[in-house]
Amino acid sequence: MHIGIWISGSPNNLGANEGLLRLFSFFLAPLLGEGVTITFLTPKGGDVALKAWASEFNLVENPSLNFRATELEWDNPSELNIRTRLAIEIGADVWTVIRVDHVRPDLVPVPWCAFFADFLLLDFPFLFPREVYYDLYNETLELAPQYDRLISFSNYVALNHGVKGLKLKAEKIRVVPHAPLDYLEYNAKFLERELGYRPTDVADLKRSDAANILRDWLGSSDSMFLDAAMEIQLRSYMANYPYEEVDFVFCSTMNRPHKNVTTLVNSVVDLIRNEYAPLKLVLSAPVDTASVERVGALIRNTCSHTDVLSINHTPSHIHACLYRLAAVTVHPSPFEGGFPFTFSESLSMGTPIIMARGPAVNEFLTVEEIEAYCFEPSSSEDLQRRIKYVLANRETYLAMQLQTLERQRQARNWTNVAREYLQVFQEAKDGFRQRPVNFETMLRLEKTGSLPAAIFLPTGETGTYFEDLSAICERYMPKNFVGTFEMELTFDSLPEVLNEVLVGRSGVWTKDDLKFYPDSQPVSLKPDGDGSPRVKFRFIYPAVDDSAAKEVRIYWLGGARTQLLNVEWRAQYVPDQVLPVSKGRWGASLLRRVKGYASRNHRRLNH
Amino acid sequence: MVRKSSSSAGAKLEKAGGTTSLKEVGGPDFRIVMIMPHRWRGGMLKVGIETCNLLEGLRIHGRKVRASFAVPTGYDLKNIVGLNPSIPVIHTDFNAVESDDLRVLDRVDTTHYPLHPHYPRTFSYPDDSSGAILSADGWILMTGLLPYGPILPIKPYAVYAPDFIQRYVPEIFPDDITDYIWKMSASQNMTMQAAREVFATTPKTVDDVTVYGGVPRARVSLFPLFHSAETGRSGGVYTKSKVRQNHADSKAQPLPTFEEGAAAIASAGHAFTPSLLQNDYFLWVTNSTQHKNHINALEALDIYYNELGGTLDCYICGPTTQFFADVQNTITYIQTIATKLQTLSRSSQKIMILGELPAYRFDTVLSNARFLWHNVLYDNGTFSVLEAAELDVPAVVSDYPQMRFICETYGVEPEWFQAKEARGAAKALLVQEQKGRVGASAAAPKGLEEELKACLEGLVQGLMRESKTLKNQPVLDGARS
Repeated sequence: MHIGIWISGSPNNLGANEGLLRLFSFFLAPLLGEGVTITFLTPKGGDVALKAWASEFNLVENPSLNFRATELEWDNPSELNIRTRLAIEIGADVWTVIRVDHVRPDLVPVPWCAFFADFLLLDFPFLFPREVYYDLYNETLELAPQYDRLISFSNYVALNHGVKGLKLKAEKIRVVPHAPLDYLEYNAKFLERELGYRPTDVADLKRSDAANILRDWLGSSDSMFLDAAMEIQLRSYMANYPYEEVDFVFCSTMNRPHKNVTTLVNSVVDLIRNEYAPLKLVLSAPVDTASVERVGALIRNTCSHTDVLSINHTPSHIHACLYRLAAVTVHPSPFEGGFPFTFSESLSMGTPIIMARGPAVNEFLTVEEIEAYCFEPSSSEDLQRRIKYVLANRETYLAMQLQTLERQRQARNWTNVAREYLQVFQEAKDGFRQRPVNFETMLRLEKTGSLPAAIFLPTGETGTYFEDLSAICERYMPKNFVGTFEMELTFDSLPEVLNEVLVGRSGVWTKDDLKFYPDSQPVSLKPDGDGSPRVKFRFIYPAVDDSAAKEVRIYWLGGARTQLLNVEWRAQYVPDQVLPVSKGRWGASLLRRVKGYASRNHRRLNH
Repeated sequence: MVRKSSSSAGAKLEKAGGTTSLKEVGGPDFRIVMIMPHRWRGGMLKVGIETCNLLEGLRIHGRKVRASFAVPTGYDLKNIVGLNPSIPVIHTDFNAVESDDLRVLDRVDTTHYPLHPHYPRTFSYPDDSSGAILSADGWILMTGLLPYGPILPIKPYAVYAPDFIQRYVPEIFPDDITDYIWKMSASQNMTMQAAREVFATTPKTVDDVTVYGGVPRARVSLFPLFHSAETGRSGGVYTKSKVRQNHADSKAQPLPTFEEGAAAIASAGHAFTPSLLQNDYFLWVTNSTQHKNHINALEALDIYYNELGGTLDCYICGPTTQFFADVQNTITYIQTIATKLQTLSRSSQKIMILGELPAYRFDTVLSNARFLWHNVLYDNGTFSVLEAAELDVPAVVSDYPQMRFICETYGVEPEWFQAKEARGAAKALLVQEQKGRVGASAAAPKGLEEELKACLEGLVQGLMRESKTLKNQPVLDGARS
């Protein structure tokens, strides 16, 4: 089976410790072990970044693993179109994304799968700005049902976010829980590079060595974020800090509002100031102490700049060293889409962990374990009590948690997980049927006039444009579509000669001599408001007879400077030919959403 | 005696000189400057004087240690009492030098300097025209708090860490904290991280030096408390007979009026007369900074007088406490406390501000008190509890690690309370009132001077070792002979 993995966003962020991409690093090797071919498809530069990332796991030489990228930057509006074209060329059996809002599954006529980690706007509707909520909510509500299969990491997300929240069909969602991770083994190769020998047991990585590795990195890294004031004030302090000699609490997290980092900060600061505990807190999240963001503001307001350090954007083995050095790890977020990685990461580096109670934890731990390991996320007092307890009884607590980890290890590993993913991909492939363009898409085409079609822009010199018209029509139009396509070409300067060839017909136009065709005609050739000359063609689909347009080839001659800047397709739908669809209860809300989509799309095009 | 030099300049000169080789001229003494960058009096000054006295005349690896004492320009030398007369006092201020200044880069060994490559923007350096500080062999800083960033590390230096109040009572930061985090925390930590040695006198502060200051434990030392029968602040003053004498004197003569006291009297509605010493009172020693926990203390006093029916007067004394008589004070915090204090003292008729007392008057007032009240959120501990115990005056003390350590070391058993719990504090006052003058005793450990000397010897040895590795040091030897 050939699996395509569709990665959106800036290549600079690809290697970051964002949870979902990390997930790939856990299951990729086991998945390749199952005899599949995997192709990553990214915007420009993403292939290089991903290769560098994968080389860390000895995977680059694997002939079954491919990296492809488009020639356009990730934020170029045409990138999506080009990537779609490339995806069709690659011809994977199944495509998969890490977030449902990263792609429009109706673009490529193949089975689509998505990792559906969570849709936490449903649980935390007011923690994010209104615009974020609107955009993400509308987009997810619209796109999620189009996937053939969605993979969740917990029953809670599948049921509450998927079925109840987004009204997804239960049979489309598969729950594949994570397996525990041996973080020492995972990082053994990088640690070997630093140490000169390969650690096979946590004790092999001495605390002093771990601290030296960390300090060296802190002294030389330019990837870590510190706000301007802290860069001056804390950088050298952190690069010289005796981590191996201090009991610090480590929190591996992103700095998102729902991660409950403030409770942890308050707890540690209270322990320091009220109980004189010789403690420190290290966050893996970037924190800006000059901003209004809540963790930064809390640190500023409590003047705890020196007691709450942010060591962020760490490579994986530095991250492991932090676990190794910490006295205790705290995972304060009450919500995770799956059982937190931090549990096995921390324990496999020999450090006990305290977690917040929450659905994911409830699902995978026993009642006794929850009681013993988990604090009430709203209660700083509970957390303080537990931190004190763990510090005082570290060995027994660690031994108890290692038993839980061992149970999890016995239950499943990442090969099991990879096989289950594969099963889901297979299901998606087997059950795939060409998805029709639905009423909604039709309406959008009509209202916005913008078809997110696969359009191949010539990237280099001037001169030619080719589009297989019938392929586009077949791909995007329902079988009984009858309508008009409009194609608009935008040039940077007006071409002297424009030569349009359709199958069966051809013609040469000059500025003064434009020829018209009955069902395929240039309708204008004039500069628009900003001086960019535009040429419009109109086609009727399906063709009236066999000799009508099936493909379009356009040549122009405008001197060396003339370049084709953009091609836009518009489709005019003829309503009385529409497929019968049930408007039912969707009617009103659908229209609202379509309007919302139109305005968003307008914005996007303008960007 | 010729000092060995690792400087290449010296070596070149020797070669160039041919048979009559030029040798570096250097005295046999190892010259250490004790630097007090702020206008401190009281306990910190005593530490400085004491340390200088102990350093002077130490003999280490055949070299005699010569101490000098640097104080801020314009510092009133009358404050310096008990300093060995052979120790010079140098006036100096601190100045800023940019870290990319060639004079810095030439002298700071970037390969070994721990802050490299993350220099701060500016370093602080002692600006003295005599050259005595920059040419000394080593420095002991009495604090890492310097005005323009960390100390310029061109000499081997050690730092005394009195306490890290800002870590526990951030209220002492002004509103615009970013700059003050730099001055009071970050730059101090850099100074300490680059020091040869950091020393403190309580285990909790030693802990803070590592956890907060970021100094590896190998370079942090626990020194004995600077308080003993021989070396401590008492210096023989606090003997009972001496106090009795003082007391008799103060009864015989009318007490002089001091200006601040007068303001206090006017504001608090009391007159300060010798007869007040015959009242039953307890003594609250404090000053006007926020870590002295005034808000909780006043709430405790309110409960003590108005709910629990406490009967003892409360006399407040200490440097800058006279400001608490001024309800118009421009500092918001002081104004708040003064206003509360005025309300409370008018309603209870029991509270009086004595202001800053001269030593002999303090002895008298302390020895007559029913007990001493020490109410502080956090600091390095106070010896006033020990001074009281030596006079058989018990104490009611807020519970924090340094005070626990001091009381345990000296065998004092005060009445404890939690600083942030006003009700508990009020109850402790009442308990001690009912107990009367019992529970005070202090057993000052002997041989502290020897122990301190041993610690300082170790410290100087470290500075000596490091002085060989630094490059391009100004020496200007022979300034003292």
